[in-house]
Amino acid sequence: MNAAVQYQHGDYSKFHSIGFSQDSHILENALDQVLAHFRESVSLGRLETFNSLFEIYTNCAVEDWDGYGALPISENAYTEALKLIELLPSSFPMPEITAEPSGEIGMEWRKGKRQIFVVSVRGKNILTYAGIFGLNKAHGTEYFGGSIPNVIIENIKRLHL
Amino acid sequence: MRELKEKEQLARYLFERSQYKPSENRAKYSAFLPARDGNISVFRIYDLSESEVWQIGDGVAQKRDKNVLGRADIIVFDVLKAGLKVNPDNNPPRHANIGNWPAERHEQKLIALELAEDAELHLKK
Repeated sequence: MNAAVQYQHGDYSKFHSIGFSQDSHILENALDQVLAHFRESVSLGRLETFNSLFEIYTNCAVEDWDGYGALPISENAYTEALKLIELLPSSFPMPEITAEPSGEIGMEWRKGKRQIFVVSVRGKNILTYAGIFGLNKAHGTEYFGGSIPNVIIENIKRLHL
Repeated sequence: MRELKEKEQLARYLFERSQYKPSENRAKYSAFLPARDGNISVFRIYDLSESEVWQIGDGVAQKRDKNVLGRADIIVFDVLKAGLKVNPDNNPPRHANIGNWPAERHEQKLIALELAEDAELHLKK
């Protein structure tokens, strides 16, 4: 399913599923959250990022999605990633999304060789980050409440702004 | 099996699309994060032809009920430089584990970033 297609056709209504399983309800909730974000003004880049996040979540919400025993991406991790992306300043480039074997969702900004910064969420209000900026490195954790911590913003700026 | 050499290549087979970026011809850091057992599973591909390397990947994929999408090759030197260890166990043949990871996730991510920057992506045709 493509959340962007529904947005483009003006279908903001609640997604009606014919599924009955718990997995079906989980996906229904996830899509509702994505559509709720689309009801507000959203750039094309952010739209594509939401789509990518949704696709990765649906592909990786199962055990062993990577073939090496990865933990599933939880709905809480997905929701937290949505929130982080939504809070990114409009002047910031959108990240690449990836799934991590620990069940976290990773967001990556990369300017070029050895110019890269990543932030991960797992739905527990903790951001885990790491970055390489040439010879310089950064890594740590930050609490994630109602806003993106300054250290995260500043590290993204090191690459793009 | 022969002893490890610093320039020896190790293959990390990829089964999930979000772990590499074809347009930039690179594997992402997430392909190099350790599994629950604290290891990264790789295969020693020295002296193998390209088709033989993919045969190993197909065998790995079959056991895991997956499709191999590509692989990220790294050399032993880059693994050791990151403070990790390569532990060949030859089970299955040519298999090795990359271990000695730090416990903290943010430290693991930093190492995974380094490995991904040094890795070479090959996509299955």
